[in-house]
Amino acid sequence: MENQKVEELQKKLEEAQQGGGQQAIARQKSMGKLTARERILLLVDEGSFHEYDLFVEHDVRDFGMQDKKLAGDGVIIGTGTLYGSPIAIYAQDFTVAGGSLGSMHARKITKIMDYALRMRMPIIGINDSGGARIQEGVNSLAGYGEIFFRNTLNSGVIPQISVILGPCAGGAVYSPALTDFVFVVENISKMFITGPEVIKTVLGEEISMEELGGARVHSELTGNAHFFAQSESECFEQIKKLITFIPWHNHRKALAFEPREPKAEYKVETIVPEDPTQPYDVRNVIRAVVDGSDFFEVQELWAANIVIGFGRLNGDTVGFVANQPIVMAGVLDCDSADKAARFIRYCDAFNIPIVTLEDLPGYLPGVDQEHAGVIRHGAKMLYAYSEATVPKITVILRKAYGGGYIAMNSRHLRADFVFAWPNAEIAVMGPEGAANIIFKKEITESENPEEMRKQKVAEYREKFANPYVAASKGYIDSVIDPKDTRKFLLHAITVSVNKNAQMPSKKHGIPPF
Amino acid sequence: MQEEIQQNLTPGEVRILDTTYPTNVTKRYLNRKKWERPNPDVVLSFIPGTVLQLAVKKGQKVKAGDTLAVFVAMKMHNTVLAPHDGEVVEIFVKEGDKFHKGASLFEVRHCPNHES
Repeated sequence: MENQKVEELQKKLEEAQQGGGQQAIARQKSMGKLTARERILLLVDEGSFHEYDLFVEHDVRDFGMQDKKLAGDGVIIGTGTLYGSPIAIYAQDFTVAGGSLGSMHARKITKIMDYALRMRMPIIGINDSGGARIQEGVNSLAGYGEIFFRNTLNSGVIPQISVILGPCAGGAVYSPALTDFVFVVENISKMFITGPEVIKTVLGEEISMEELGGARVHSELTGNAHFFAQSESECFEQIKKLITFIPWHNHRKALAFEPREPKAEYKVETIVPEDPTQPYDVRNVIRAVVDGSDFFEVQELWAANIVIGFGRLNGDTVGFVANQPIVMAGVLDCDSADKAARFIRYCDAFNIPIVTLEDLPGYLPGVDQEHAGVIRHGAKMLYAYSEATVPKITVILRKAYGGGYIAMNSRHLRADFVFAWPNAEIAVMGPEGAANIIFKKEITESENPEEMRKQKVAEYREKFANPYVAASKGYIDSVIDPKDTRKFLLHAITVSVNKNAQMPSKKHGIPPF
Repeated sequence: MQEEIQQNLTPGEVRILDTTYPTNVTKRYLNRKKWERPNPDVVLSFIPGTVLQLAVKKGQKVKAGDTLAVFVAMKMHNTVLAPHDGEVVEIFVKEGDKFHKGASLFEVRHCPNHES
């Protein structure tokens, strides 16, 4: 008798785990996609996945839906472990009614989100859905709303990761947009509010899904995505790597790893050219100072004039923010300020110290920038740095001019440690610009203006474009030999481990977003 | 050692104050439009839409606030009003046309003292 019941259960399980059936699965495969179940099993530790709500059924009585049985109502939820750490996960199953979101489907997602919050573990959401289940009308919209609300509630408490492995259109896109990190895969991910069809009908503009909201578009142009991969398996490797850098929740630190020395091939003192106009790849400076030269970049393709990402110092996770002179001379502009500001807030929320590497010529001039709101976007960065109470360390590698000097985690925004290399130029503007203004009269009235200009530029550079003026005021703690950069960083992290800085009591601030 | 950035980057330069920096520039930077002073006589659309009805003809004199056209945008009927007194010297759309945001719709030459 008992055996019979167990057999019955086995049968029910097998049936439900079939998803949308062989045909739908074959179609999913022909699109180059894995099934929802395969995805989960590839992500979590082997044998660790435990599923819930497999037997949930929808209760729609209209439009012929009463006769349709949808396996798991089109979504798989459960918990597992990743490198032994707890993780909550859900995956929409495109083979079941196109992964469309109805009220029970949404209730499963919100259930696992609630579990993740209560148990304080990261949650990974795999999106692959045609959108709202039209037959369910406003119940479907209610479902989205409940998800967005929880995304906001969970934000800054548990890490939330979104993986876009199929279409994610209309209202559905706002769940990923509210989460911490969005992963996309070329030719598979599609995200947009209004699709190509609607755009064509309304505007007559013809564009493909890929061109409108493909993985590349969101990685390079919009900044909606944080990690770009060529395949689903590469994407899963990226997720697993990210998980090692971040803590389970906001009252913990990320797990410490065995400290490692950087690779010998990265020599920090040879990377930055002395001439302040010459470019170089700042990521090599990061690689020269972090454990094992292992730098995990975030949003590599968007606003590449600022570099953000994770590395480790003495085994502990650190967030890096660095100006990138090989792209747009490393200027600050709307997008780069936006990108850095959000990352700084992420690090602050999850107890990750921030190391800022500074080498920037200023803000990007232009009507387009001013009209795009570079004031508002730039202010986000000032806000994020000022508000952050995690250890904040700055190394001025070369140029620190004007407003950029203040924005890049200066002493004045409560940096804990500010170090400068000896060839750093810290001034209100570059020597050329400054000399032309201060010595305008001398230059124009000189018999040889060009000669006089050169002389005055050199004079200014000699006198002001160095780290010692700032050091004499205590704005910089130490002028350091580039070779000692890692040593100073490790020590700064070590002594600030018990940092206790408080913001005045408030409900929340009003950042310029 | 220098890893290539996958983004569409082009070698170029960026000028800030008196200094020119050799660097890679982004596609977005290359595609930026030069700002031009808008012609106050040209009426631009502020939203994409479809022309439902034209209310004026070329050459017609209008007063500020007169209806020039009715169009449909986001399922709503909207009216285009004359920005100032003057003469309709150009109509860039016809009934049934779809237009994008920022498209030129009418040119109304400003003539404050005209007799209507």
